Amino acid sequence: MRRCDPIADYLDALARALGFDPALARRVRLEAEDHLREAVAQEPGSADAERRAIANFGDPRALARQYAAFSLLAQARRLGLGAVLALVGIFAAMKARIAWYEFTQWTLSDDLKAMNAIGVPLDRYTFLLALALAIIACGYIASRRAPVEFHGGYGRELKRCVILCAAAAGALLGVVGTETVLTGFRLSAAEWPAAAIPALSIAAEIACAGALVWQIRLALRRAACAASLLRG
Amino acid sequence: MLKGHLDMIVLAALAGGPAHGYAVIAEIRRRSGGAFDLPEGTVYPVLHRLEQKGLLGSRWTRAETGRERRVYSLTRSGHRALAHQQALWRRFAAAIGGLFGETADAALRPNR
Repeated sequence: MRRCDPIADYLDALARALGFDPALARRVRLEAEDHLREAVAQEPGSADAERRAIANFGDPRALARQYAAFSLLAQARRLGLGAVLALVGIFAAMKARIAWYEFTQWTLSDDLKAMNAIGVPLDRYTFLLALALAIIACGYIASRRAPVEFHGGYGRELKRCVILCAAAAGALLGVVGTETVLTGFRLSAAEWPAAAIPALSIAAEIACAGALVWQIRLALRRAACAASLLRG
Repeated sequence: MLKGHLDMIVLAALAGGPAHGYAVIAEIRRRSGGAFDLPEGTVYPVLHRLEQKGLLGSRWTRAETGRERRVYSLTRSGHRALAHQQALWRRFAAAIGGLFGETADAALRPNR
């Protein structure tokens, strides 16, 4: 049978409310437990000490809203940084591949030249679009200030941060897709030792874009978790 | 009104030296003569936010009871921010004192 421990139940509720940031939830749980046990220890022999300590600590969802205000902004900043790092990573991989083609004096068939004539400018402009979107996203994120408590309007601001990063990620996926197709055609006629560097560079680009998409998915899930604190 | 000054209150409570959350709350209550009797949990988000801003540092220690305990202390930026906020507050208190017909000296007297 489960032992009745109001403090443990309270801590569970607090950790659940802080589900938008699991690392923060673990830390706050430890701190809150220390506080509550200390408060109870200050009232030896009082039957009501646990209940009073919990009541004095406050509503878990109200506390979580205070944590959400700055925790989600820090996450948005990390997301903006992630978008910039993904851009830099993809750009570096792209440049490494081009340098390799020049070093090996890679020649193209007429068909591939015609394909590149369309693909390369498309790729370049899509990359510039991704860069512009990432700069706008970072500027927007940097101009946000965390309020004392998470509220609906602030939630919408944070959602805009994620949408801007998602738009940059969408453009980056376009870049990676175009380059994968162009490089795939190029490598289909190549021998493997020479094709290794371009193949690795494409894998690095896919990894960068994939990491950004994963980060955006996580940010959306955490934002939804924080938004649930405003309901009910 | 209290909510808008929580950062300053928490920084002031830590001016005496490192302390864990429970001790910070007890210090606020003691030094305010019981006037600032906040919901205790609200101090922790403030401690975390101030730490994120670089005004506080923190580390885990182990209490005598064996429980893990987070101890906070003012950083150099924290000391500077507290001094700045104290100066602002004294000017503000003196101005309000003037409006209420007190002299600036009278408004500052509790700090002496």
